[in-house]
Parts: sequence; C-alpha cells; structure tokens
Amino acid sequence: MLAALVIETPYASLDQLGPALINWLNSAGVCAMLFLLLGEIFRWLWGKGSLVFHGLAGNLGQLSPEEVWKRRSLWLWLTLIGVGLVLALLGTVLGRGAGQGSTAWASVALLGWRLAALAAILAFAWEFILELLVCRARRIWALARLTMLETIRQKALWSFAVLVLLVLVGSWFIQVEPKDQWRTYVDILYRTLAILMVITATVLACFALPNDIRRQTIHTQITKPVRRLEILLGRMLGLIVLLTVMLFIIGNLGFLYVFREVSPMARAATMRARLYQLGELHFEELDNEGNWQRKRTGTDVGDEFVYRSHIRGGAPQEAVWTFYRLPPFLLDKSWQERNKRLTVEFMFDIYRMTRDYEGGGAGGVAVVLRFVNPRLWDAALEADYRREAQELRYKEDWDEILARKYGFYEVPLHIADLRTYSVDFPTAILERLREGGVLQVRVACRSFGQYLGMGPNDLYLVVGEGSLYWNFLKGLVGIWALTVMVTVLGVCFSTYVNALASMLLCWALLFLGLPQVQKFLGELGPETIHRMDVNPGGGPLEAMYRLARGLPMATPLPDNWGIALMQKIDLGYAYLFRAISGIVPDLYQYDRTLHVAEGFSIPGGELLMSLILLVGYLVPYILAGYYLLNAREIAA
Amino acid sequence: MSTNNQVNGEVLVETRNLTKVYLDFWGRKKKEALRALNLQIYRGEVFGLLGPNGSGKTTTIKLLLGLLFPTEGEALVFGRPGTDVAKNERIGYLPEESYLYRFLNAEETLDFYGRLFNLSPEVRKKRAEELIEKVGLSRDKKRPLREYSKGMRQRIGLAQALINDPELVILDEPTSGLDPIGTRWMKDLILELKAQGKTVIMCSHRLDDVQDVCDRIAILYEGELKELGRVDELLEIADLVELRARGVRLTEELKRDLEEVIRRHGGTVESVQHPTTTLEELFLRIVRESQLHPGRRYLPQVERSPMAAPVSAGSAPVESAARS
Repeated sequence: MLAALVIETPYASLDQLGPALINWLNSAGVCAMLFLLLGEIFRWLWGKGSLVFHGLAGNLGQLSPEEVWKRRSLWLWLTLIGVGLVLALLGTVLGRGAGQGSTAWASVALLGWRLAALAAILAFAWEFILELLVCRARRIWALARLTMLETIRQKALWSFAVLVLLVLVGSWFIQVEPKDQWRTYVDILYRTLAILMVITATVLACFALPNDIRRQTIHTQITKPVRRLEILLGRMLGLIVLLTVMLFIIGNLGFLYVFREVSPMARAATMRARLYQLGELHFEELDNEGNWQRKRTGTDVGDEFVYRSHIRGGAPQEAVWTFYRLPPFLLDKSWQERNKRLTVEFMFDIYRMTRDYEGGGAGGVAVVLRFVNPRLWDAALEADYRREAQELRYKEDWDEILARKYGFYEVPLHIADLRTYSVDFPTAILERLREGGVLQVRVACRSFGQYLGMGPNDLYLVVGEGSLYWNFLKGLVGIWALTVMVTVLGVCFSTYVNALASMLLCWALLFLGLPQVQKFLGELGPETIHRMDVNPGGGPLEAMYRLARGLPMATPLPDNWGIALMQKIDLGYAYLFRAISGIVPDLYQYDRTLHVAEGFSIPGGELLMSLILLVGYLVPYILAGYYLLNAREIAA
Repeated sequence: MSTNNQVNGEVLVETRNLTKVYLDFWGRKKKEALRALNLQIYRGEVFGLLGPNGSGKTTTIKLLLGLLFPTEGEALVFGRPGTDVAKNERIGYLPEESYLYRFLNAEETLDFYGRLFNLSPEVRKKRAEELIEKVGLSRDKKRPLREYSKGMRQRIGLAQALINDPELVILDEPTSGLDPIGTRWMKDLILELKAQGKTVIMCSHRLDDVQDVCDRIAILYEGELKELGRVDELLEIADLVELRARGVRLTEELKRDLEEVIRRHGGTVESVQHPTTTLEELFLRIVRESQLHPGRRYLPQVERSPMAAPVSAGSAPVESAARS
C-alpha cells in the first residue's frame, strides 16, 4: 500500500476564520482608506467635485432625495473613520506614555483602528451595498441567461471537446504501474481540467463585456431600467453557471473513465476516501538528568527537504503525535463496543547511515509505536504492564484489558523507506479519554545507526471511509473555485480595460498566486526582509549598496544614520510587497489533487474555509469592477 | 396639438446648457461635440433633431439616455437626470444600427428585453406576440437575427423599443438604410405613436423624413443649436403664395388672368404649372400595383421614348406577362 499526504503548508481551516477576518478587515480597511483619499485627490485635480459632495460613482451630480440620503450615510461613515483614527492615535500615543503593559490603551487603539477600517470599508462600499439592495433577480438572471445562450450559440465551449478526447485516449500514451493508476489518472485529469477551465473562463470572462461594448449591444441594455451592477452580476452569474455545468459533466465523465480503467491494486491502495484525523507532532528527547525534553524538531540530518525531521535509532528520542481533538463518535461507548480496533496509518523516511537495513531478519528498520493516554500511563508502570501481559497472554482480549487499564498499547514492527503501513490498536484505550487525557502515538526507532524522518502528516488515524465519488466532487470544488475566481476577475478587469489587457492581468495574477511565487513574496515581507537566513544581503537598497561597495552578503554594515535610513526604506518596500501579496490569490488553497489522488477525504471544514477565503478575496474586485463600470461612459 | 402642449407646458425632456466635450486620456480637449444646448420637448409631440454628420444629434440622444455623461449642464428626462436608471422604465430607444443580439430570434429578443423591464412571463409573451405581429415579422420570428435583412432588424429593433409601452420613444436615425417601403412603414408607425399620445424624439439627416413626421425640429450644426421651431412655420416662405385648383386646365388665358390679379395686389407671378408628385409617392404606387398584379412588367421600348407618359394606374406602360 502506498499513499502519502505530504502537506508542507497546512490548508486554512475554520479555526482560522477569526484571524482571517481580522486580517481581511485590516487589509481591506487600509485599501478602502487609500482609495477614498486618492479618489478625493483625483476628483479635486480633475475638477470633478468632491467625493463627499458628489458620491462615489461620479454620476450623482443632480441630487434626488435618495441621493441626499446616500450622501448623509456616506458622511456618517466618514465621521466614524475620523473618530476611529483619532481613537487609534490617542490609544497609541497615550499607551506609549503610560509605558509597558498598558493594555487598556492598546485595546483602545486597536478598537479605534478596527472601527476606522470597518467604517472605511462601508464608506467605500456604501453605494454598492445600496445598489445591491435594489437589484432585481429577474434582470440578473435574464442577463445570465443571455450570457449562457451567447456562449453556447457561438460555439465557445468546443474547447472542452479537447479534454474529452484527452480523457478518452489519454491512457494509450500514459505508461503507469498498475498501483499508481488512480493517482496518475486523477492527477492528469484534475490538472488538465484546471488548466482548461482557467483558460476558457478567462477568455469568456474577459471578452464578454468588451464585446458587448464594441458591438454596442450594451446600449440597448443600459437604456433599459437595468443597473450596471446587474449587468456585472448577470455576466458573472451566466458564465459561472455555464462553466459549473461543464465542469460537472466533464468531471463526471473523467471519473467514470478513470473508475473503469483502474486496476484492483490501485483500488486498494489509493482509490479510497479515508477520513483521517491528524495529530500535532513534537519530538522528545531524554536529557542528561533523565528527564524527557520537549522539542519542536528532531535531529537535523542535513536533508534539503525540511518537511521531515529525524529521530536517531537506538537513542532515547521519540516522535510524538498528540491527538488533542478526536471526532466525538470515537469517544462514544456504543461505537467503541462495535469497533474494537482503530487504524493508524503512517509512512516514514529512512535516512540510512549504514549500507543495509538493520533490525533483524524482517528486512527493515525496527520501529516501535506506542499508543498512550498520558493521564493513565507512566513509565514506572511498564514492569507491571509487562508482567500482566505475560499473565494474560492466552486471553483473546488481553490487549484490550490492558489498554483500558493502563492507557497503553505497543506495536513493534519493521518498516521500509517511504512505504505506508497500517497498524490497528484497541479502541479500549479511548474509553477512558472520556474522563480526560489525550491520545498520543509515540514512535521510537530501535535500529542503531539509522534515522527515521517524520513530518506532521506522516501519521494519522483512519477514522472512517468516505464516499469516493463525493470526495472526487470535493476535489472538483477546488477547480470550480479557481474557475469562479478567474471569471470574476476577468469580468471586473474588463469593465475598464480591453479584453486582451484583462486576460493578461488575470494570468499575471494567477502566476503571482502560484505557491512558489507566493512563498517568494512572503519572504519579502517586513518580518523577514532583514533576516539573514531568509534574505541574505537585505532589501533592494541594501543589496544595491552592497553591490556598489563590493561588500559580501554576510558582512555587517556600519552603524550610521544613512544605513538606518536605507534599511527603513527597504522596510517600506517590504510593506509594498506585502500589499502586493494581498491582492494576488492564494491558489494553493484550491489545489486538492493530492487528497483525491492519494485517497484521503478532503476535510469539509477546510473546503468551506477555502470558499470563504475566495469570497473575501473577490469582494474588493467586484466592488472595483462596479465602480469602474459605473464611472464609464459606455458610448464614449 | 404641439402648440397646445407648449402652452400647457408639460415638458418631458429638457436640456439646460448641455455641453459635451470629449477628452483624451490626459484630460485634454479632443472635440467639443455639443455646446450649451437648451431644449424643451413637450408631451405628445414628434420632435426632430436635424443636422449633418457630427453635428451632435446622436450625442444629445446619448446624453439623454445616460450613455454619455454631460461635461456641463443638465440633460433631464421626466425631470430626472439622464444617468438615472428609473426613468428608463418609461422610455423606448431604437439605436441607429439596431444593435441587437444576432444569435437570438425575434421572440427571444423581445423576451429578453421584457425581462429587463421586469415584466411577468404572461405580459412578456402577450406583448411579444403583439409587437411581432405589428412589425410584420410573424413568419420570421423563429429565425436568428443574423439572418435578418437591415429592414427586418430595424423592425425588430423598434419592437424591442416598444416592449414596455413607453411614453417617450427615442429613435436614432430610424430610416437609415431602409428602402422606401421600409421608410414609409417607419414614418407611418411614428405617426401612429403620435396618435397614441406618445412623445417621439427622432434624429435624422434625411430631411424629407423629418419634414413628413415632425411637429418641431431643432437644427444642429457643429454642436450648436442653429434653429428651433415648428416645421410648418420654419418651412413657410412668407413672400410666396401657392395656389392649387382642381377641375380647370392651365390655358394661356388663365395664366394671363392670374398674372393680372396678382399684379393688382402688388405681386409678380413666378410660375404657373401642373404640380408633380414626389418620387417616393411614385415608387410606392408602383410597388402597390406590382403587389396587386404580380405578372406585370416594364416595357423597355417605352423607356426609350422621350414622349412616354408618366406611369399611372390608368396608363401604365406595362403588359401582362404570359401566364403558364
């Protein structure tokens, strides 16, 4: 059996919703304040009147009673921004004056800032929100329907025939081992589908509105009681519905084809949807005083792939997975009675220090897995445990009795490099978790001279088996989210720039959103810009200075005001890069190929969180698209 | 009627100092399309915007419809600014080229625009059927618009403009590209709309069309209003008198008598002759006759004769084609 869930960067989960919302509020608040300020400056420069007096969209010159009301609401938000900023400033200044530990003033500053950020978002989005309230579903759907009909009748979906062809004849050209069929086919299908959907969605989205404007067909819409927001939403909705249907059809065809083709070996190995429970990994080491010391990492063997950390064979060093949270049903007595065993699966990297495996005739590295409830188990009880085990060894359920009593169960085995193993342990050990405690799985290596490498997701509990088809669909949701993203971006960009420029903008953003580029942008942030291990040589100005002076990257710089200023400017660059990384999408959140290909059920919470992040990411673009379309002279 | 409206003063459309200047990317002046236009259009009249290409007719209409934003001044329709969406509930607009979706057929087109007016399915269906019948496209209602001729597209364009039973109909070059039959049909329809009490604004550079249907006109040239008033008043030549009489032959004696009378009143006779019909009238009569008598055709030898009588119902130089 071979299946690996190597996830270097964890996916966002619902636990992170609160911090994510705060981050969003901060970023969106700053952007909104900047846009309000810039808008006011440009309007003043171009003699178009004040934003405050004429509303945001630029066409509210003649004030009707509703618009007067709109303006008053806007004024309210602007006042709140002012109040919030004053509070934030006061909190910061007075907090500094009060010295360290002045949490009350810090809270005031934080509250003021958040109030200002929220009010800025509302001020910027106010016209949009009011417009949204008066939009009519029938009109939006009419425009969506028109978009769908247009796309279908202009034969724009023929590109999908290419994928159908690829799916149908692809296996003729792909040579894979039977055991790898599922993961290879799923990988190819998902990636091809993602590329095709992104290209199709970008082209359709970026050309929809510009074509309408170029052919002047939009004139007959604008001159009807249609709001521009309805046009924007209608276009987006039509494309999203159509592409969703296409994705569903092609995805299902692909599923049927792959399902039919896969060998029995691959079905057993990866064509599954394991419901898994991850634990938190830490390492423990016995110090000279005989105490176990907790560590974040194990021994560094110099491997470039830093995902895994190692423990030394035959040494008092253990890798410990702690399962702080278990699905509630595992603690249910009736479930435990029905299911006497629970499975743990794992896969470790063996870092060999000798030519061959040690550990006896079994041909692998000797490993021992200990399932422990630390509330019940203590190393001092080991002698009692072994004695009792000897006495009960003829009883069929000896391990259950002891697991229940001592909160301990042990499995020694030999393992090979990067191969997935499955071990069952008695659920009796979970019984007393109801009283308190946690489940720990402690792994030790017994083969002298060998190292075992482990990453956070290398060991997990298999708590059930999900539906394979449902999991496949959940995987498609990632591609769907990507499709929605480029559709919305494309339509929004095309409200102002032409179709080709919109397409280039979309693809540039997607490129910046690739995990590798995101990582790079992240490293250019203010926290790491001056860190020697991440950015040797410092920020751009410092790097230029070093180049000009011929200074090596590690040479300390002189301590003077010029260098300090240079580093401050570099810090400014770092904040700019942070802002840039905020406007690009995090595509990693939507790539779920690994889960489906390796046979793991995609956690619903993570999927939901990725969709929430998508909404949070797209809302500012929709706002911008609306204002740009509203401010545009369609017939100019 | 228009005079009464002017007196009653129910203004539907008003422009106040309306100015439109096109700017380039850097905000520099590119073209002044309209300069301080002041107009009032009253309920129930047919108003024509007249002028050569580039005179600002279409710009005025686009400003009224919110397709362009004024640089200065105001464009008010039903008392609301041109950019106000709600006013569009009461407006029907036929663009110059009838920019419709060519992948839709006539029924789908009207259904789509009906949805934009938030009409219920029953009302949409009823109105679509009535309008398709009215514009004479019943036989072609299932064909996509890309297969339509220019005249047919103009008809369906007009139908979409009327889907909401508007109070104000704005027509941008409604007869452009139409053949004389289409032109006459369009003009009859405009007069029918007027008879129904609707207000019509049309812009055109075809002077005869405007003359035939408009109550009042505004003449624009290079973005400026050059003339505004009732068509009959503007076209009246005050120092010329036209006399029409039936049942009398134009003899030398009659000419002399008329000259004598005119001279006694201090004037001079410029010409006395039989009136001629318009080419449009002639063309339409021939088409009507051809529809009534499909076999008839023109005799070439008659064309060569300089003395050939004009074509008329009684003495047409046509012959019956042999019928098989």
